[in-house]
Amino acid sequence: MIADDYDIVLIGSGFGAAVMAARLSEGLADRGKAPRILVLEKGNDHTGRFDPESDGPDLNAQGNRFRHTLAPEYLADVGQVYTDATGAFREGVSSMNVITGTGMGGGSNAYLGVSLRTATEVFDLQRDGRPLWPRGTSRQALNPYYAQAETRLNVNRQAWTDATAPHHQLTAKRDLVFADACRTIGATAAPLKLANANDANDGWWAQGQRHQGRQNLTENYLADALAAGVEFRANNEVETVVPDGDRYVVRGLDRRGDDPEIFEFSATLVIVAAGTVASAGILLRSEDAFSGQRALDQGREVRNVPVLGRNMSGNGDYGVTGIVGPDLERVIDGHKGKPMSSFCPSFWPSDQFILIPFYAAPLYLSQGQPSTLLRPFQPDAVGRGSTTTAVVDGRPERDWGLAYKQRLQQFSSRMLTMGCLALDESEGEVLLGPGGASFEVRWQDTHPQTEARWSTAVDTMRRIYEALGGEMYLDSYRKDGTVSTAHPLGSVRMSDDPEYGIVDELGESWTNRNLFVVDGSIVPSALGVNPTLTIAAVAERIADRLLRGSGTEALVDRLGL
Amino acid sequence: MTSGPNPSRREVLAVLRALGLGAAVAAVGGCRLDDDDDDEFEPDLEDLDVELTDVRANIEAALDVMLPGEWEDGQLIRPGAVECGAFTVLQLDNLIGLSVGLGLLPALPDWIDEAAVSFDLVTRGLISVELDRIGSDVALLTSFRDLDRQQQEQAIANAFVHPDRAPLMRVLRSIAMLAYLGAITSDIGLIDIGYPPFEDFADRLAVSGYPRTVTDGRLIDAQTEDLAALAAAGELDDYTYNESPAPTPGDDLSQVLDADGDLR
Repeated sequence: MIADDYDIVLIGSGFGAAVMAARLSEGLADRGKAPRILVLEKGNDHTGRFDPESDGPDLNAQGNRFRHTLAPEYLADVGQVYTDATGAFREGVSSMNVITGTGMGGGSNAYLGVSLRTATEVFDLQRDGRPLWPRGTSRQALNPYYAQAETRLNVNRQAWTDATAPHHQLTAKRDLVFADACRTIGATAAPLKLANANDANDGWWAQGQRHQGRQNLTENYLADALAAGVEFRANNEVETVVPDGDRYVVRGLDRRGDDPEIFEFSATLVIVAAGTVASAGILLRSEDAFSGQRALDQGREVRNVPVLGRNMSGNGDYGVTGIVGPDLERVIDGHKGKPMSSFCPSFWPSDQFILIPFYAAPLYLSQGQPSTLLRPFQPDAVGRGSTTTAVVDGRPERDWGLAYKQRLQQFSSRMLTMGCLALDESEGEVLLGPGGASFEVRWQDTHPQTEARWSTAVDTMRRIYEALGGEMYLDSYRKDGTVSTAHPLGSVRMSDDPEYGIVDELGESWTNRNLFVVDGSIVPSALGVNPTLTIAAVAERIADRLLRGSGTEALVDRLGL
Repeated sequence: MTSGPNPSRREVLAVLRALGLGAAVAAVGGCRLDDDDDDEFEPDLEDLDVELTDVRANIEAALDVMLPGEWEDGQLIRPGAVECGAFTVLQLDNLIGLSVGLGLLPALPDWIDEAAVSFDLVTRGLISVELDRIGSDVALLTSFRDLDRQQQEQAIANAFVHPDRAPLMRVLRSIAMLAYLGAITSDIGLIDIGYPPFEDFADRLAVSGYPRTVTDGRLIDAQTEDLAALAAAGELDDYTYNESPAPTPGDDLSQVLDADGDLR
């Protein structure tokens, strides 16, 4: 068994953990302190810089282990899907798929760099007459921390046109087409803010890309933490966090090498930051170790309703796919340029959603949607995604064979995917799988308000496709009831009220001193925009307050340094 | 097919059933389907009575029906699944896990380690046997690979609507699509639908820089070269227009976005 003592152990290396690791190590160094800080990452270190003993293929010419394809080892390195084994893809059964980033850098391995601040009104949301967000956490309070995160993540606003702008800061042709369609229906598109550094050409995101183009956390926060002396262990999966007197023991499995080995790291302060699904899962798995006064889920004692794992939001994610008209063939060319660079905010004031056009790999768009490929040739064919199989020349259409392949060749240059990000009513839940070995997500019945926003958004997206001379053909939620999100939030909510949250506004457990949760799981509502920048800003604020001892016990005192 | 070094019979049978291969297993006497013993199950390739080369020929024939290569006068003019390396994709160690993760196949029972399940020699042999059974419905005593093209298509079409045989067809179709559009072993499928080639496929790098010229793919220095002139000459392969959209009458975003482009 591996055992060691640390001042701080961080579980995870995504936006929450990376910001905390960098800011706390730098801040303590500025104060003349040299604590032992450890980052534990379940996945691989694709850079080889943070943990040379990490598993994975050899480093390539770009200095990382990414294979830049759909090859299994690449996908296993950067992404993980959580789902509900009992409901996934079953007709008539609501279910949820959560796609998360994994490996050193967490969600930044799979994100598309979109970096928008959350609207002011979101922080004022209420449910059942109670504020969802802690009073001190507002857009105004976060603005300086947003700015800090934007600087370190190299966030810049894309431009429609700019003679002096670097090529990678211009919106794609796809976005101008989208803007024209928005105008046709009385809406307006605007350039997005992206965290990118050079000609990312991230259109290859699912089939290969220039990794350095996108701002991965290994290029900024994590690199800074490493420079400040933070230790990293990849392929180290945490199973439980257990209180041990005034300290905590973080237990798990070191999977590096051929023989996995159990580890037990003791720490004065633990920061759980494994992401919305895994953070809740680790705490659910550890719950029995927190008894009596130290119970993690205070709500269970008071209201007989557990809070941990509940109220997870999918951030209102709702994706659809369609084709544009033949006049725009080769203009969309989704694989060129950045996968996202503009959005339509026009419906935010009335319906609380934004729309983003983006590129998705043809592999996903072609699977199971054969009839849609007929549309350029058979305008009357009914799409299978719309429930009825088309009949062509008196025979049911085929999703294989020469005719199908030729439709695919024609179709690929006209495919356009669109997504809605909206406020939802947090209908999701994280649960332990059988035996507690795995985590599952579940989606209860969709709340009427969520349904209403989605209906408006889908109708709007349909009108946009029609304005482009094409049509929306794939609406997977309507087709099979599966909610798919890449932006899970809120399973370990922060709250001013310990009955309704697991942690306080600074991410500290209401019942356990020095046990923090800092990632998307503490964000208590949908954001309606891509959440990484807000997670980073919340972490920046928590780190700053801890270092200064502002409204909480100072970090040096907590650690006894 | 294996699920870890010593798969239990229960595990193997569950995966084979999920793929619609239960009947094929029974047909070659590999095991009894009603046997619930949890003993280790290690079917022997010799039980299958098939030649390895025939296995490959049979499976590739089916993959080519799924996404055909297109030939003219003996020359390949457009690749299909086989030319894109579908048989190699079939042999990937964790193909099942990948396909399930991508949503191309339904989830397997949670007690099966998907990542460890692979199509080993025995499973490929079983697939070949099943293809022969499917082919026999169209022409008796003829191996699938020896059917003519029309018969192969008919056999596959029949199998897609047969409840016990459709799962394997879906698996083979997914493999064909993965090879063609997934760029797992080759980018020629993507090129076939209009993508530019990966600059360095050997290292799995797809840097594909823009802008560049249309004719020779030369990367252009956007800071120094006259992009407008290149565009006017039809020489610019770019992904931007570098122009503003027309304004939307009456839709003023100043109440929605702040000066930095964030929601207010």
